[in-house]
Amino acid sequence: MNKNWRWLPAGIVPVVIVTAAVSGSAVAEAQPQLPAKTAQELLEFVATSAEDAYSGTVEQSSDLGLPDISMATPPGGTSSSDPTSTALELLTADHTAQVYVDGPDRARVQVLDQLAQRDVVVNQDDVWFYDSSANEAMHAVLPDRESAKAELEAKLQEKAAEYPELQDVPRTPAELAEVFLATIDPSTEVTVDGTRRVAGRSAYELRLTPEDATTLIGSIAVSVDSETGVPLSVTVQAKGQEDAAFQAGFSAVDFSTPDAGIFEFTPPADATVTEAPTVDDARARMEAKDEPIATDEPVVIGEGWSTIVELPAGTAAKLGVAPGSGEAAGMGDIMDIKPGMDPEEVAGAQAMLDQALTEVDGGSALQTSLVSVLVTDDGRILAGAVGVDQLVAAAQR
Amino acid sequence: MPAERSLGLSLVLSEITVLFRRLRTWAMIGALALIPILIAVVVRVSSDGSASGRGPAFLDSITQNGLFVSLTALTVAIPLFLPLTIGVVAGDTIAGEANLGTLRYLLVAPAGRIRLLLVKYTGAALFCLVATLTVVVTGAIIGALLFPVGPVTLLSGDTVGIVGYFGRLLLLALYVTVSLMGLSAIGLFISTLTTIPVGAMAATAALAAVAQILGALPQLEWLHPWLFTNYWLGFADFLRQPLVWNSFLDNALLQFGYIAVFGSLAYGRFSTKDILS
Repeated sequence: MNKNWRWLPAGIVPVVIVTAAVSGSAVAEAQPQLPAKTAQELLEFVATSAEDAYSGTVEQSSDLGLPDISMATPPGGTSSSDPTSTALELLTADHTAQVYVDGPDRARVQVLDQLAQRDVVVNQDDVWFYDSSANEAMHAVLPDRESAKAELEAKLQEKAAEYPELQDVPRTPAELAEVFLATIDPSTEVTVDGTRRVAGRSAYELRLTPEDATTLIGSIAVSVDSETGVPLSVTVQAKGQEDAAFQAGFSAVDFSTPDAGIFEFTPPADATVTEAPTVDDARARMEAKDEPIATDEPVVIGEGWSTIVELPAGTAAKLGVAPGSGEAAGMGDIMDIKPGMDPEEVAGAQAMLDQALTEVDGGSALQTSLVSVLVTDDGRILAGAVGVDQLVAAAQR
Repeated sequence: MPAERSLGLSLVLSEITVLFRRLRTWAMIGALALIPILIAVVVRVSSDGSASGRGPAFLDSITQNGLFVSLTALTVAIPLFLPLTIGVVAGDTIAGEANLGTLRYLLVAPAGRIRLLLVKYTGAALFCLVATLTVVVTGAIIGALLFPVGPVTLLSGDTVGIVGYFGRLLLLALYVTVSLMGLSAIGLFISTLTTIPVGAMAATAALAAVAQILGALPQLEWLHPWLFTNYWLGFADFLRQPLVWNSFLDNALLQFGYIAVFGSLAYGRFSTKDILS
């Protein structure tokens, strides 16, 4: 008796699964048909979406042509105390986040780490940051919006009196869009690049292309939801790289108002809570100390997309970056060994950083597909969305 | 046909009775129960009140709230101990009977092979649930005995009462059980390939290890969503406020795919095989 037909299900099931997976992604790729919009109309549309309420899941990924930086920061809660490495990790590693937004005053972003979570909660004037792996919470009070607005208005009037051409300060979204377009126009081409499907919704694709030969940025694409004007995804392409250098976008989105309780945050009883200084406090302290702030101001070289920021001499040493000296030239000691960090892990991370650094004329440089950083031998730091050679040229100027 | 259905049900019942009468099953459940006990006792004895930020997740929280013992024990048990015990149970399903020479007698009933596979798989799935619940429940009990107990801080910084927390723990046990269903199906298939149960057990447990190693390699990122171990540690989504169901649904779909593929493979193999023992 031929029993071979009994193997049939084993052959069919994988085929069905593969077909379902492939056709599922094909549906997601299909281009929706939408009424045509100009770039200006689309920008106005985006500006009207500030009052919207929505929630969803955001996926972020990046490909900067770097060794995995998440391995260069010490694992566990130790790195969260250092804002620089936290910011670096948030930007360069892959993440999934839950986002809840209710108008301009209420938002909550939850970065979903494996077995951990980081939360940012904005509720009117209160801002909370909570890190579950370190069980640390930080609270900040935003400056009073109404008085800040009034202050800004007064300043604008003052300026307007000084410069009559500023009389027509843009007020409506349409005017804002016009001003925005006028400002970026000389160095950027703004186009509406067809339509796309993002998170199961139809969206317009707004594309900003720098007309600047020196910048590393190829183009920036923003997908705008066709019904609400809410930006659904941002993709940054680097020149000469096929995969997106940076990508963040909704994988699922829901345009109903999130439950108000989501924006309430009370730190857990056993968490370490730090109070961030308010703007006024910080200003008062600066004035009291009479610190020479001016000399620390970064220098801005160039304009537009190829802008280079130069931090003055001494910054490198302050950040723990040793300028070239002896055998371990460059950023050999970029990380201080803090208590609780495994010296071996730090050494490993340093070796990885050293690998990423290249020796150039007058310092050492870190080149990613989007941004370059140069640490000169005299301790200055230069950074910009340009090639290392541009930074070297700017440093020698 | 009520007679037939009752026959199926009684087969399941007898399978479960046999499974849970075995000394080996209880030894494995005992070993799983030891994990939270060991963790709780060690933390209790060596506690100096300082949080080091090292070790498995939630370890630092145990001294403040004993209910976290369940979570630490689960994160420790999921990569190795749970797959090992599942491998033993699932690998033994068919090969064990073949080895004992009892497979023939189980198959005298007409159309018995599909039903036998289903019955065996049900038994293995039930063991997944019992094994997970053992870790969770023992953890909660030993934690409550050795440490203070109170409202639980979730990953999002929100606090839930003890009742809400136990609701979440049950969901979490369900998540882990579902996570192990794919591995059980793989074990069932491997078990139909051989008459040597130890080989099937070792192969199943080894596959779980291999999948996790592949999942740790960033170079194989395209493969990761297809690995049955991919969402194993995603159970933490039930410790967020609001609850996030994404990984549960993705995981359920993935495990269902594995059950379909390896279930049909097991059917293909088992129904065409000559049963000689």
